[in-house]
Amino acid sequence: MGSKDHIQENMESNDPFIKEMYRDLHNRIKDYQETDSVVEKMQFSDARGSIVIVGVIAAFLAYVLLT
Amino acid sequence: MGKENSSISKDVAFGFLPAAKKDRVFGMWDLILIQVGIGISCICILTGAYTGLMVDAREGLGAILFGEAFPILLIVPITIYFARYGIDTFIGFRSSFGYLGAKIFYFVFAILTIGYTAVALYMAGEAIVKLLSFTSLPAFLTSASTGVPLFAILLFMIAFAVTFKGPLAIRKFNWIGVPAIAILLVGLLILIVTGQGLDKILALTPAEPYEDFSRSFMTALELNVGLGFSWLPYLGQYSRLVKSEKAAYKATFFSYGILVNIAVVLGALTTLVVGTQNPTEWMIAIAGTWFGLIGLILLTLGNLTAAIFLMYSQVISLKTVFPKSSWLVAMLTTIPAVFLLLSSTFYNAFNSFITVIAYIMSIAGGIVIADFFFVKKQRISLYDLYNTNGKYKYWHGINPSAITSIIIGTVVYWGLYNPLLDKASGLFEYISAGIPAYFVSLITYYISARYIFAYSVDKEASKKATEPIQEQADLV
Repeated sequence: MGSKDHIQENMESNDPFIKEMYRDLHNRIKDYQETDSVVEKMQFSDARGSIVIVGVIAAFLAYVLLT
Repeated sequence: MGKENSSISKDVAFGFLPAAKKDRVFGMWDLILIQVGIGISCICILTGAYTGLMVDAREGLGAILFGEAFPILLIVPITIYFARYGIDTFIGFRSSFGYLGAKIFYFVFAILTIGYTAVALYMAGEAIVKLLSFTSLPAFLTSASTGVPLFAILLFMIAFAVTFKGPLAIRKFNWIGVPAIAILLVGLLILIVTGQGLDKILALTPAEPYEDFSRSFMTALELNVGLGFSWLPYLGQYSRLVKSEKAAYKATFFSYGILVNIAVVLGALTTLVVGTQNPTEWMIAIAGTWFGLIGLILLTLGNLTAAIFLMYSQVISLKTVFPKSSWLVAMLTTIPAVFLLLSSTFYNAFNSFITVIAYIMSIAGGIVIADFFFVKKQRISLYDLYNTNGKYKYWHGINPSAITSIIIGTVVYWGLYNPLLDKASGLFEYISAGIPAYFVSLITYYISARYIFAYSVDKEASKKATEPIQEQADLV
């Protein structure tokens, strides 16, 4: 890439708010990379309920339009 | 002012940084309650009102339920992205639009929010004028042409002052506004059902249908599809703070896809009963003078709170995208709403506005879903989302695949339906416009990112996805 690292650059900012925020950002990204993810991942089966509900709504819509 | 500045800085940092484990405070029910509180607003009521002008109660119910739930089903998987990485919408969209592209998308969101703010404030201005029409104040204050813009602009100034003070002042205001709109909706619903009876409501015919039924129905459906897709830029705001991806997905589906429909259905039924889509006309017609006046006060408070929430959302998001901008400069971006309050032209064109949103957000929805699930295969570099000289720079900060997708999606949407002139092609009456535009932009993005403008970040993701070891079974 060759361009300057935006995060590193802002960690050296003269604005104390930006400097502190980007340092915190750097630590959080490091934590995330070490733990992979902090939340439980979703499975396809978790989406079944919403798909069924939309199926029922679509059936109701078809009923309304056909009768 | 020190305390207020510090709370603003805290909100900016909180919105900008990826949520840490300690920030993940919401379960599914918390998120449902928050998003329903935000979602039930004058925008839902007006969408329902325009639906009730074109189709009867049964058809309206079908158009509303499907029009909200199906677009949400199409875009809700993106909440998994926000929940997994703990990032806000405009940071997350950098992977699909590019760093500059995500900034441009923010300005689209800002225009949309300015429109919503103007609609809420104009409705509040109308409610005040209606209230004052019961007094003997000068005609200047009680006439729609002069009084409504005047009070709407005054309310804008109040909303501006409250938002400028930051989250502490806003939270106090929410304690008045959110219950106000909830009481109003429940009250109206009870009065309509008990006063009219369900059979009578089902037999009512719409006041302003098109000449043929399929045109009326599809236009009503398109308005609701617009509302469904319009939640896209708001999906990251709270999904990033949940404890699990499942909670973000389910809560967003149930809140924006199902529960906010209460307000939309109420808008449609009331319009059928009263025969006008103007909510300020409903109060006296349905509740009588005294309860009607209380209803108008609640409507004013609810809309003022909605405007404050929208304004804050726009300003805090700007600070997330441009953290170095000052709070005052960020606040000044809300000023264009005043120009939309000078006359009723914009407010009366709400149906065109919501279909323009359907056009923009359906295409954007197709792009972000295609990028995260099908091109990047759920593999995103959190570091590069924040390092704006990183992997998602594409071509000068813009992803050419997103541009290609927008162009093709635009041709499809406008070929099917012109939202500004309300001109529909023959095909629109069978397939509508927003939903086909979503699928076209999704497929276009996929083909473009995989085979035409395939950047190393897209190729890397596909290569990694074919590697056999993967401990977590991800969605798709």
